[in-house]
Amino acid sequence: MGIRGHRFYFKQELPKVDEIKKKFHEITGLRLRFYSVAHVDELMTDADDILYHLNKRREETSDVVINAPHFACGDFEDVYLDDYMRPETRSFYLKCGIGMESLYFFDALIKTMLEIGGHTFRYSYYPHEEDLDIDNYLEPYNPHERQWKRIKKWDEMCDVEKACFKDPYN
Amino acid sequence: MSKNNITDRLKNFLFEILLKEEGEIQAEAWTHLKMLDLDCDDLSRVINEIPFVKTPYVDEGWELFKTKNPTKQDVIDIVKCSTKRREAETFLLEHFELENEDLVEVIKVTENDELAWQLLRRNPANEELEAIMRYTNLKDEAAEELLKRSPDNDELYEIIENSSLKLEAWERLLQQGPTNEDLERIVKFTDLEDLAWDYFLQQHPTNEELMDFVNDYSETGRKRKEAAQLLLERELGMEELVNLIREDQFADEAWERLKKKSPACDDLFYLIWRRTVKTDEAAEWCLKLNPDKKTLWNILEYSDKKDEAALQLIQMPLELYELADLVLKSGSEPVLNVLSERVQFDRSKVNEAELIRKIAEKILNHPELLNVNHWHAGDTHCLGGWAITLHEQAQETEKQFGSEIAASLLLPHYTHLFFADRETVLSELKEIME
Amino acid sequence: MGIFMCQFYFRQGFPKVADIQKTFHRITGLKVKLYSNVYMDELMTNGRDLMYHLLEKSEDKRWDSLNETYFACSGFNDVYLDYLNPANKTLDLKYGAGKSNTYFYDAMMKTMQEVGGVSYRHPPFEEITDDSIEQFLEPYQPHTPFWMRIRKWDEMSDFEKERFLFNP
Repeated sequence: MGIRGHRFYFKQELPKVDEIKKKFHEITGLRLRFYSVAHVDELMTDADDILYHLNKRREETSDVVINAPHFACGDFEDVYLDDYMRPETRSFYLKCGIGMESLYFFDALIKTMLEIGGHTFRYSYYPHEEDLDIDNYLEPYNPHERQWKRIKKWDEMCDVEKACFKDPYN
Repeated sequence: MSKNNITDRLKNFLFEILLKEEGEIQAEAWTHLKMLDLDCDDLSRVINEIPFVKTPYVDEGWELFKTKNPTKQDVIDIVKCSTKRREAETFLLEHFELENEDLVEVIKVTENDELAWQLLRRNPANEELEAIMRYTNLKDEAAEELLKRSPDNDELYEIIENSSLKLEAWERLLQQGPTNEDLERIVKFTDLEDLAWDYFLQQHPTNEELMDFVNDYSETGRKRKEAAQLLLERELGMEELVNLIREDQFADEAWERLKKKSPACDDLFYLIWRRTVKTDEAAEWCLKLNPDKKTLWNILEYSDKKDEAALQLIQMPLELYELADLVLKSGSEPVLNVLSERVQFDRSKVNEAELIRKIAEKILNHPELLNVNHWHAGDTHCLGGWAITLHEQAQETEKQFGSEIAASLLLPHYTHLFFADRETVLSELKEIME
Repeated sequence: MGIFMCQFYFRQGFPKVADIQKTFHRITGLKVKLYSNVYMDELMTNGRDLMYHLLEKSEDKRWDSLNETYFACSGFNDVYLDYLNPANKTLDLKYGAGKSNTYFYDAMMKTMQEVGGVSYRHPPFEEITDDSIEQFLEPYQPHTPFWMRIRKWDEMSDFEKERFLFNP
């Protein structure tokens, strides 16, 4: 199965998750969650126990004990933050599988990032800072264009409008 | 799996603070770390630059590092990854006997001619000479030595690319018999472009080898036209002709030859999708072949033959959301008729000319009422949004079938303005009023 | 939406996750994993960064960040671990009642009993001790139809699978 992705660059610092959630809610009317998954190998539910256990295991075995950070929203398929994100570069990559039920969540999340100051970044890898005139690689955001304008609040769209987000690969 | 002791765990945690925090907390972590009997590995973490991360304790860390009896490899690692490169290089030369392979590791980072001289005097291996050629100014000296040793084709290529002894290396290469791949990279990346090209042609290159020049993945542009011209003198398959068109090399001739092969829609899909110089011609060709739905959407999206494709599409079963897509790309009468029938909207009562003038008047008098980014946002709307707002029946249609369908049925000749920027919308509205 | 819940008491102490995985695999032929969601307020992907960020948070925030532990099995809805209390050796399994297929939840309950857990119905807010719990324990009877029907997923017919579809 292929991957669909979108790379962003933030000229200032990366946005806080709270800011992303707020903007996403403003655009879609829906609640956004952002979380990773910790692999637990003892039965426990207390947060401090889990944390101590995970940290100890990481130090002792170098295992990846927490991974797969992703955005989630209701019944939509999750959108992942790519492993190669490096906060120092102020760029990151959002990805999801192709062939999803609906692209609404993915598209709305992209719109959210663009509305809070992110730029679409056309670059397949991050070159050294001095070799890069960053503006040459940023695409302008035009909210009046159809792909962004059709993203309305989920509950305010009719079935035909919702169906427009059907993944062509599905 | 070794279990770390408590000191190691403490160190790990303090290092994380050192790398991730700033200011006082970072300084405190460094003070605590220094109490934990740091060894060279630990200090390397302070001195070396992890990509994009540098601690402010590089100088202090380096001074401490020197007192901890570092091994040769410890110091080489500092040379390779730290801003203390020069200091570490000097320390390395003063304190250690360096093997050839050590010198190469250092040369690759510091490009130090002095070290290259040392290496040259020690009967270096061929790949060590290549490193001298690539990374230092002793290119000719290394090339001269390499030429004495029956270099293979790859090594001769390095000499041609890096030194001024290129002609001698070239002669040697001819004696040894270069492959077409050898010649291709000499053409693309060295000064012997023409010499190598002539020889390449004498070796009867395959279509695929010539196409590599046309595709020009290395983006040097060298011998692109020449390769395309030569290809056209040969018998070419459909894929090769499509490739020439895609690369815009003698596209007219390639298209004429392609047509003679009677291509099917699938053969031309790529030509249309990539918006090549022959996209419209390819679309026209496909439209005559009773194309399937996928081909028709491709034509609708990427070519100028939108109305023709739309006409064929509406003969097929379409979902309403597909019709919404369709009407935005082709507002032709047959499409509008199918759509209005499906959503049961009576277009006969809509006077498009009157409606657009009414909207234009409203917006031009109060430009603040135009919001091109949303269909509706409070009292502001985009052009399509205004059309719906001023038409009661369309508001029902919008609720049931969406804004795009409702607005397209009202203003089929202005759908391009539904997603245009503010300036364009205002300027077209002004034209309408004039 | 309601919640299915089942309480378990482990006389000999909690089983290891590896034992649960082994028994679950024996019963169902499927893999189960235990996860905890880590809610994050910064964009980051590196495992070390994530862990550091969590450790750095105050206790309250940690609780917010790490408050769901659940068993996951590909293709089924997650089954949550709740009210796990090492002191009295009890835990609850929870499952959203609106989720249509109860096979995974039922198989988890069977697994828990096969690794030494005993289901019980204890009055809320009463202290549980080894003695007090006895009267509330429900014996496990693997030969009864409810437990017998849980067989390896890939070996069941469509008809048998459909019997796990919950229709509220």
